[in-house]
Amino acid sequence: MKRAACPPGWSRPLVAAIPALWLAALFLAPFAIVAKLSLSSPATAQPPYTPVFDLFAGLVRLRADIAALTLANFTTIVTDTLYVDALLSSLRLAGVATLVLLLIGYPAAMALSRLPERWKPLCLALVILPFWTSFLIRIYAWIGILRPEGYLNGLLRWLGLIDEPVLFLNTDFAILLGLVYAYLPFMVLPLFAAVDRLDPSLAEAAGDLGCPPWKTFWLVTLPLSLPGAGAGALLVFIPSLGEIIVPDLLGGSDTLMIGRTLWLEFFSNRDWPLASALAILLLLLLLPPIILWRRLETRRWSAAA
Amino acid sequence: MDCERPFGAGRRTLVPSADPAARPLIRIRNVERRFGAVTAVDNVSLDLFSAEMFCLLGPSGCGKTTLLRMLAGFEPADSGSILLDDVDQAGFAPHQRQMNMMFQSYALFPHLTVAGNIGFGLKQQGLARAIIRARVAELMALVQIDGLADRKPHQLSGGQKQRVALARALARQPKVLLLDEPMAALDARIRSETQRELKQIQHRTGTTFVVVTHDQTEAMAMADRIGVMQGGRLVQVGTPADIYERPASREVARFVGNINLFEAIVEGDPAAGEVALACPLIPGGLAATRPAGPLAPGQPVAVAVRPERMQVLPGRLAQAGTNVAHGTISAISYLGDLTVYSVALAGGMTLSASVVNDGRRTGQGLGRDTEVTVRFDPHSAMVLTV
Repeated sequence: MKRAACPPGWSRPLVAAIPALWLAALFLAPFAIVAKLSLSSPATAQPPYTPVFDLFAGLVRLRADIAALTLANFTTIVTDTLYVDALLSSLRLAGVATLVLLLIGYPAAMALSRLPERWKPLCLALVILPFWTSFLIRIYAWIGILRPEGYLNGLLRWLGLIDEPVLFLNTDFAILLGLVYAYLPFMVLPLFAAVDRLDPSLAEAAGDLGCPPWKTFWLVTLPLSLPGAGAGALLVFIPSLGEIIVPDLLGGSDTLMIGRTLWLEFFSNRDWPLASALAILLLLLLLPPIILWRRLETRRWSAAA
Repeated sequence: MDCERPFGAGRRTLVPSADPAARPLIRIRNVERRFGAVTAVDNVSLDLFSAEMFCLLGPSGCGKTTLLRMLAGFEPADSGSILLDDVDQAGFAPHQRQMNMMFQSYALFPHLTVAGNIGFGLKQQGLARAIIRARVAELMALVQIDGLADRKPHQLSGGQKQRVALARALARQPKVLLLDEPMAALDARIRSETQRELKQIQHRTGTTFVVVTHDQTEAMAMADRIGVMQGGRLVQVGTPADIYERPASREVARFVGNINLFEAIVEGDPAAGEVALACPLIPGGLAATRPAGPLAPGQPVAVAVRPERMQVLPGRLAQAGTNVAHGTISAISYLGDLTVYSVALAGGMTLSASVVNDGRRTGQGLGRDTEVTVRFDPHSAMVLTV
């Protein structure tokens, strides 16, 4: 087949330039601004930090500004237990939420893939349906369910299981519940895509060769759907880690999550540099697992090819 | 299960089903399976014997794969029972049955190597690693894929995949091996060779093979016995020769091999060894071998004659005797070993007659539109009442 009339020398760079420019304008430039902010110091001024780079103030001033940049924000974050604790509790909650989501997501995805073909689109639509309502309102609704005089306590009391209302709201349990509820579709959909693709006779073959159903899952279904599980885990873990609304509405005052801490630094303390440093650290923390995942995926693809 | 049993222990000397004292390994009793309004398997009863190669033959959708999946335990029976060694299998899940299946898609585990696939079933038995390794090597030698142990399924050719699937299914030394269209994914070129090898392996391992196929030449080539299924029913069970020479019905006759069917009426006294029949297409009348069942004068039946039993002569014979028809050649198919002539009879029917190209009879001046006489012996003509 003949190639298009464009000389091969410059057509390719031109095509590649469009996404490159897009990334530069919408990702690299904001990132550079945040990175510079993270090295600045807070100030009671407008904007609330120093130094403010002014490219027209001359080279001497610019040199002084660069010299004024400091790593103090990072030192504060690493030494102040508040931030480390917030980060650790975020990692813990996001990790547990991801595990719970995997435990719920697998049976859900497998049940979906075993439905008759004509029911699948409808049931998948039902999984996505909650997105039609605002995230904020859906999390707000949980307050009504979880508060001491809420529906859950009412139900438990009606069943005679409790006498005193149980404290659900403003606990880690409520945050976990909120995270699991909010991110379930992000787990179920990639898992479904992975499980549904598998030839049903693979599971039958495992059963035929002596595996009871749980072992078939462990030896065949799970290893063959790991790409879907990994994609789902990343899709729920990363936003859970930085989640603001769920801990703010459902969490207690003593549970700090890193996203909420960042929010508070930015809007309540007006400490933009510290908030930026937190954002940068969070990004650096999330990069290695993403890169590792991408690399594993690439290897898997090249092996399959 | 005894895993040390060497291959070849079950060597047999005669077809077990021919021995009246033989005890069936599997008894299928009045088994039914319905999917909604469709009855996929309709009141099937069948005995399968130890160390036999049994082919379930039928067109697609006839219920043969469903019956196979019921044996494996993937489909429950709505009624009836399946007994293996006199033990009802109804309470056993697939992983508890001493039967293994080779899937049509092969269903090899893509994340495991060839050795991992073949050893999968052995690992579930909790055997020691060294024993598994030895057994896997033995199986790989049996199906002739030595040296491929560390390959992944996607690195194998279709024929190699089929061998891995066969070795994996044989690994646990099942009493019965169930094969679902084992040749369907292979090139026609290697199919007949693989059929021969499969039969050899079956013979060496002494395992009972139940093969599902829609290909009658494959069934004839491999089977000790064939069960023909049509519309969920098992319509005939017998040796390949039984099925071919004495089909139970018009439908079986049409499905297995090519056949010429004359609709005819029983005439005269059918008590003799030969039956005289009237057929509007054959003015001189028909004479055919008497079937086993009762026949009454005036009964409408079909007379079936295989194309290779037809004799084609150029020209028009003067006398219009029994089993003699006149027509013109409407088409000629040269198949190398055979030449098949389509002969249009005056009554509107087209016969098919095949002639062996043995070097003597070729080139006898049979061309398109040649007027010919076709005749056949009474003992080559079968009477079909159904």
